[in-house]
Amino acid sequence: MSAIDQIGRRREGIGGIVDSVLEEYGSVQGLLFLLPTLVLLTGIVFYPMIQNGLLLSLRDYTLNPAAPDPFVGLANYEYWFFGAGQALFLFSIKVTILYELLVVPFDLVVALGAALLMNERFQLPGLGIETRAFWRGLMLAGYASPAIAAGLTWGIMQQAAEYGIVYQFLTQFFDIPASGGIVSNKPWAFWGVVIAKVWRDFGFMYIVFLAGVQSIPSALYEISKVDGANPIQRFRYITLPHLRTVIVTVVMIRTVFTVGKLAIPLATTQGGPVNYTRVLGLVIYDVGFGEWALGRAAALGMMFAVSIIPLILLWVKTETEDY
Amino acid sequence: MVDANLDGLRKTFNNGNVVAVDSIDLHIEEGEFIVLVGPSGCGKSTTLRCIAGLETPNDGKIEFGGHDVTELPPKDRAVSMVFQNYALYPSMTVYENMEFGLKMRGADRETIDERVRWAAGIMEIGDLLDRYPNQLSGGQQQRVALGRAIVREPAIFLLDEPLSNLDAKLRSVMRTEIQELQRKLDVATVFVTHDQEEAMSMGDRIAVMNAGRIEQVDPPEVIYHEPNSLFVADFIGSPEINFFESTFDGSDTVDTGAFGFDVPSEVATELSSGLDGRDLVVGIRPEDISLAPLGEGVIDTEIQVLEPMGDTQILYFDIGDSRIRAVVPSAQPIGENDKVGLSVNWENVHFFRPDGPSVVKWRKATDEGVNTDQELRTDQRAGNQ
Repeated sequence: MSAIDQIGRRREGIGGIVDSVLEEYGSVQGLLFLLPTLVLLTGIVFYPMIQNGLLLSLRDYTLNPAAPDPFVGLANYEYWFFGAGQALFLFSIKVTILYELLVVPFDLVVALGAALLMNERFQLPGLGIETRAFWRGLMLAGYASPAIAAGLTWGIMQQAAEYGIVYQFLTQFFDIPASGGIVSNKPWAFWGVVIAKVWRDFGFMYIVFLAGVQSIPSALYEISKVDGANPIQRFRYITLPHLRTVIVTVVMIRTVFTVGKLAIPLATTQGGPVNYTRVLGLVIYDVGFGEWALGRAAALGMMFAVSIIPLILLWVKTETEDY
Repeated sequence: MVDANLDGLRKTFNNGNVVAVDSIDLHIEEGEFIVLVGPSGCGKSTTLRCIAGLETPNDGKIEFGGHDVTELPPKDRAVSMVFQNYALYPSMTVYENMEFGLKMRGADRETIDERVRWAAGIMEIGDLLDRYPNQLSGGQQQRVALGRAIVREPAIFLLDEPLSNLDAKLRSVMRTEIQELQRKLDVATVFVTHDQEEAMSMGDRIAVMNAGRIEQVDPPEVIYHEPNSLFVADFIGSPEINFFESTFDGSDTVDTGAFGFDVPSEVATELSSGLDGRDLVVGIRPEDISLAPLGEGVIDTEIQVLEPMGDTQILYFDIGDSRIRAVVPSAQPIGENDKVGLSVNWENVHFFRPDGPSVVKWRKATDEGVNTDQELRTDQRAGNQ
């Protein structure tokens, strides 16, 4: 009830931004105190956004510092929408969406599983209470490692070679071509990137979920045992409802923060085979720093930035809503 | 309706380093209300959790109605339980909370609905069924927890300090309600508390626990008037019993250091045979100490603190190194720092060995056979006047 009230109040406030800003900060004096931060933000956020984002996307950028970078209007946008870049553009959008739709749920399942497992009190040798901190910490290894290093390592492990242990393992179950291994063959390369990405990232959700399951009162599990619930029912009726809020939050965070990341695809497959795993972020990177077509890259970046605004708004909304 | 039997129950934690419950034998009759009482860490909750099946005992046997349930999981024991913090499922409504146990057991919708409404009727929470636990007051949550526990028609009803989270007034209301509920359902009930007053007022029998063992199991009156150890005498009764470390001369005199007194030959005989040496502890309940004119009691002393309690007042004296409590009717016109004499209702004095066990109660030795509860009470009242 209170959440709805709050949102309602916020909506009314959008009408008079100036009013609400003044109300929030008291006076012009109050705003002056914000000035240092505003200057800083202008320098590191707003200026680059305008100069290297919007303005750059309207120029034909050349490497030669002496040569002018003429304004070309919307030509760079036209290139992606209707010109030679269209096919790659559309394909990479498709890849990005697919990538997102696979990575986030996988991430969720693996992290939740790891959190539940690490929350158990095992009586097995080596898995008891004494070694618990070690195993819990180990689960964070991926999240602690640099994405490029993780991607490169996974790329190597997925090659069809003696040292390619992931390939060696998976090839027992799947018919993966030996020439090129996982990283250079469709559709395996895509899965290779997804696995590397999930391994690298699940630590974040894991640590949030672990904190979440630890905050569930043990009396709830005990009374449910007396009530006759089995482990699956306990998960369904106690754990999951308790984690609902954090699940929504981390899924939103992960969705927003995965969409522009390129380190894992870059390091694992370099976008290959051909463009098969070239997510949007990677296209921007390749066009910008591979072909030095910074104008085109900036145009793509601008479109990308605009298209994730709804996602961010959705995220902000879930953050402010109370469940 | 079944009875329950605990036989040599033992539970340890930390690979046996912590003994929570040590060889507990307890028989709970059909329909009996038994209270486990003791200080924190005495093993009363662990005992209850063993009965519920939430802990598996390391040793010993638990039987319900003659069936060995020691190894059975909680769901197969037909017990129901109420926790101190109620443990209502926060994501479910009151109705869903109450139906959960039946639903998990695959009961059909009609039965569930009938049972939930029956239990809600008894607990008078029929109008709360659509609410969520966080929309309820503490007392309402308590009722829901109790309602959830009775929905399933349990064989044994287990309550783990269910009143501790309530305020004093609500606590005394719920105390009576739980007793009435238990009588109505007529189901064997184990109630755990650390509050001796709660234990005294609720239990058919009380099991006083200390350091993982049961010190005494008896009806409340017996526990109070015939404690079988120093610990029980100390734990039960408010204000606490007064102890005097004393010596017995072997023939007929006991010396507490501050004062001495003669004991009748029957008591002397018991003391001679029951004591290891000459040391003993004399226990005198505060209500067995009364005021006497100066010089006429066993000792003259000064009132240090006076606590008016309404119809009675609690007086504190310093005798020797110890602080002594006495409960006297508030009609007596006295104040702090007044000098008074103290007399003792000797018949109710207890004698303990310094290592704990009770040796004898004065009256028991002199008055064999007539110490029914009723008489004890009448006598005690007479002694106070």
